[in-house]
Amino acid sequence: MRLTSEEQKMLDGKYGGAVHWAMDFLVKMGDYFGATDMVDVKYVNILEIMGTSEGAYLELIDYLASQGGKFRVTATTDPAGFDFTNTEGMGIEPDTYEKQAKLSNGLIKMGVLPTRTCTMYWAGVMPRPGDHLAISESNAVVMFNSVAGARTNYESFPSSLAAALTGKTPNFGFHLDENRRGNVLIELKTPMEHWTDWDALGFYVGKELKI
Amino acid sequence: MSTKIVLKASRKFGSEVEGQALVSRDPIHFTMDIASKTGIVIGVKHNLCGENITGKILVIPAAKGGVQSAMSIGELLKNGCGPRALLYNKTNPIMVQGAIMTNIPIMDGFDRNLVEVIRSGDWVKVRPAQGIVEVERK
Repeated sequence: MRLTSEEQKMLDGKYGGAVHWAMDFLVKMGDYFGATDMVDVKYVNILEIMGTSEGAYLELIDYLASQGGKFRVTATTDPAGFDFTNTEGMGIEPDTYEKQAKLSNGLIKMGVLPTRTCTMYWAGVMPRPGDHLAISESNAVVMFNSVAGARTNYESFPSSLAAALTGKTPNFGFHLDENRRGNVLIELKTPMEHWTDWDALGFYVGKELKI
Repeated sequence: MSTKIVLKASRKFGSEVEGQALVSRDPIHFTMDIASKTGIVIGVKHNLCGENITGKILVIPAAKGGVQSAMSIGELLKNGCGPRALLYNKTNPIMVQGAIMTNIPIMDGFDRNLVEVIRSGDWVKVRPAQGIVEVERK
């Protein structure tokens, strides 16, 4: 990959351990997928949920926060897994709550906006066509690529953190023109009467196309 | 008499490792199909149900699962049940992220169908730097 001098500085640790970790991760991702360079991202969506990951994600966030990690672009979050104001009502174990709180505080320390929503486009986030983003929420990946005309891959826990810490993402997948052309035309003859009909259609199409 | 097969991959990450192959005909969902504390495949319909993936060179046709799967590999590693390498016919960015985070070698885009060529129990040398996998069968 061709890195700018600024990106090289990030990789070399000139901006500290968190940025070094992030750029190192992004370069490895980029190398795997044949990206020739990085693009600047305007906005990142980060997973706040601890979920089934009990230790690995928290460890990573602890490490990055301890290395002085600070997000360089606007970063919002997905739901954290439960309602912080009603843990007893939801039957959340104290241990689970503590771990999640630690994780959330680590993200907040790094500068995240804890919006805790999958539908951030209804909370004020709407990119412009051509904007490069790093989105780890599947439905928003579709929304931003298809409706907004912005560009994002399906990010996950580590790659979205890395994007937020550097403001960069490797230039592959949906960031490239050649991967953004439609290649299947669906002629819909069945009337769609209820919004769930669309869900069923999506499931059926995915199954038929084996994607 | 032993057989040696060399397979070429177009995409690769990680350092050289070797170990015993565990071949799956079904994609593996690292969050749902595998118990994170033991490495045992618990998906009841899964062709590897009951097998333990710990320390194995996993041979998988395709990736499966959502964004959580990247962290599930990390969980397995933390619990001492991680795979030794991930070899896919075709993988996706989520699995690659999980591999990069845990420094487990991952390769895909091979010149042959891995799941048909490699058999469970084969001794496999994973060489990402050279973009090849060497399979030995006694």
